[in-house]
Amino acid sequence: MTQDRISPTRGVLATRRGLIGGLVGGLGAAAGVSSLHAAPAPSTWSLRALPRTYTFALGDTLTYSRLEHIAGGSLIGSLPLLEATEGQSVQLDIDNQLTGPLRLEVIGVALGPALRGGQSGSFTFTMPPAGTYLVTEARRGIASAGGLGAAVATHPSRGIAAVLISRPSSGLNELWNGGPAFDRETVLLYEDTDDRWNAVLADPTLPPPQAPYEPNFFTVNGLAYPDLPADPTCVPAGQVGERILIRLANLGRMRQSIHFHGFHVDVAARNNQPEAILGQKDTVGLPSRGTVDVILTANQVGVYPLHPHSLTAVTANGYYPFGQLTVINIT
Amino acid sequence: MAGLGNNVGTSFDLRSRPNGTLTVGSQNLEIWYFAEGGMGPGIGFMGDRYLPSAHIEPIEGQVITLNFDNMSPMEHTIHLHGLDVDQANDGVPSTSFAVPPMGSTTYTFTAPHAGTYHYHCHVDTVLHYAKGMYGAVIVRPPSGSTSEAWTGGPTFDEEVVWHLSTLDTSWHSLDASSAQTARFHPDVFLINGKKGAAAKQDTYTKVVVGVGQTAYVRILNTSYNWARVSLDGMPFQVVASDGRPLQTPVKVRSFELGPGERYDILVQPTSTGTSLARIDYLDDFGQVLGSVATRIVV
Ligand SMILES: [Cu+2]
Ligand SMILES: [Cu+2]
Repeated sequence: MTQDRISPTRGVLATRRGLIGGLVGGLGAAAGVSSLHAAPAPSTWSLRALPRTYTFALGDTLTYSRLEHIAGGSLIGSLPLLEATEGQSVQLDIDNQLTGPLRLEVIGVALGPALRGGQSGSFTFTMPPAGTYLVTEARRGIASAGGLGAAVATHPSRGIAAVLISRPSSGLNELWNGGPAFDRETVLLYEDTDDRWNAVLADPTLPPPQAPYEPNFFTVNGLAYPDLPADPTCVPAGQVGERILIRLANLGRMRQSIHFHGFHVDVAARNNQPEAILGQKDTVGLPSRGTVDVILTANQVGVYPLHPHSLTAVTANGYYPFGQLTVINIT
Repeated sequence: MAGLGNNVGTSFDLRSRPNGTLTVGSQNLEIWYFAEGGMGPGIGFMGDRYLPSAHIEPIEGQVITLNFDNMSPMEHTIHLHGLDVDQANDGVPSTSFAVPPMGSTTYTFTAPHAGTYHYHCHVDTVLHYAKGMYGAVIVRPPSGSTSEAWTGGPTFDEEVVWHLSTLDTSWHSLDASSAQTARFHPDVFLINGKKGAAAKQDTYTKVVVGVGQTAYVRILNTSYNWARVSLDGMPFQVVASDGRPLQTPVKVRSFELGPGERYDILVQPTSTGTSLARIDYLDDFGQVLGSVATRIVV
């Protein structure tokens, strides 16, 4: 739900800032705030950007511009996962092996250097308050409020995508210090593309397509059904009684509405703001360039589908069931 | 009560039918739908139209049996969206089973927390859903009350369910998903299967409520588009979503809901008159693709 809210009719809306004692999001603002904890070691990640193809189950092959770890590193599906502790100083090295320019953006957190094709560079930033953040690129045609933050994609993505998890300084398995606790965790990053735009997205020097951008190929963590539920990093799983954190993130241009079979989930945070209105949900709105963190309490065994309810996203070029279909597996 | 409260129980019969129609201008669109059990051709929502399908009102905490007769020449299922049934009863061919043409099955489940839910076919879902194979599930509190939303929840004098649907008319002549179902271009914008003047005065859609009374409106987005709900600028309370109370009920003048989501609102007018409840269907940028309205008569 998004709403033009007049006032809560009961209770007080908690804000993230109130809950985590003064850690403020944004460029460098959180440095040194977490004084109760020893300063963690600095982290450096090294990524390269390069063209990669993905072949869908019915044989369609599309080209994406992808990020990958230069040496080792965590993955969600085929995409990089970056993790560090809130307040920590981190460095991101990037080797742009694409033919054209690239400028990375950690949405709401930091903007990297503008790199020409073939150029390398790096940037440092302070890890934002504990939560789920999107790594993508700042591009012409993407309007960002104040340069960073509540951005609206007016230009579809060519596939520059990763997730940054900021861990709480408590060091515990909780979303933020004193926040919802969990036993297991899955990150699902939704993306879409339009095959008519694919060549132009890979090479912005080509003239724009005549057709409007209307996505017809859909991936999560860079994979589509049936590859998607075959990859354990893309399947929320656990045992009865466990609490499973699912970090939903969307770099597609489509505004998604994600349906959980078998379970209601607790909406813990939307765009890293603790949720004070929504309770348990079985279908969760997921805006473009947004994140939603939910906790699934496993209370029955079985294999249950997890998919968007705008069902063209559960197809590959219209053929069902492909695309953004994975499962929840409780034993 | 706009036809609700007439189907409360613990045992239900639904059958799928391939031969419904919806007339839009000069076109007769083919509708696939679920009718209540029995003989004869069968009709969908309120026994009055093919789109949406018939609704059911199970009672919280009771073991419910849902008998399904597939009276059609292709496989179908019933997925109980949001009822958190077990895998065997989930109605998904790949994880449970499909019901063959002219076959039958019985789904068994315990009805969850009272509230607004959904059911639909989960076979070749992108097309079967779009062709109309969906309906509402209203779970009544353990008392069976049809004037209390859940035990200890809001009470009401009037109750309406709104299915928010968009159609791409070019899909209604198709029999299977294909490259023709890659992109959904809605050209018909409905509430409870009605548009235009028919939607404004539809008995099962318009809200008739007195000053000082409460109308409980259950809103179910059965389209592939986001939708914005507003009531002529009148504030209203949102109290529940997806069959659960909100953590904090909110008073709003409009809100947006995504495909498959449900929200329950309270309409509590303070003066007499007629106003319009308006549904705007939105694209991914929030631009209005099309709208439909119904009356709130105080
Ligand atoms: Cu079907
Ligand atoms: Cu559903």
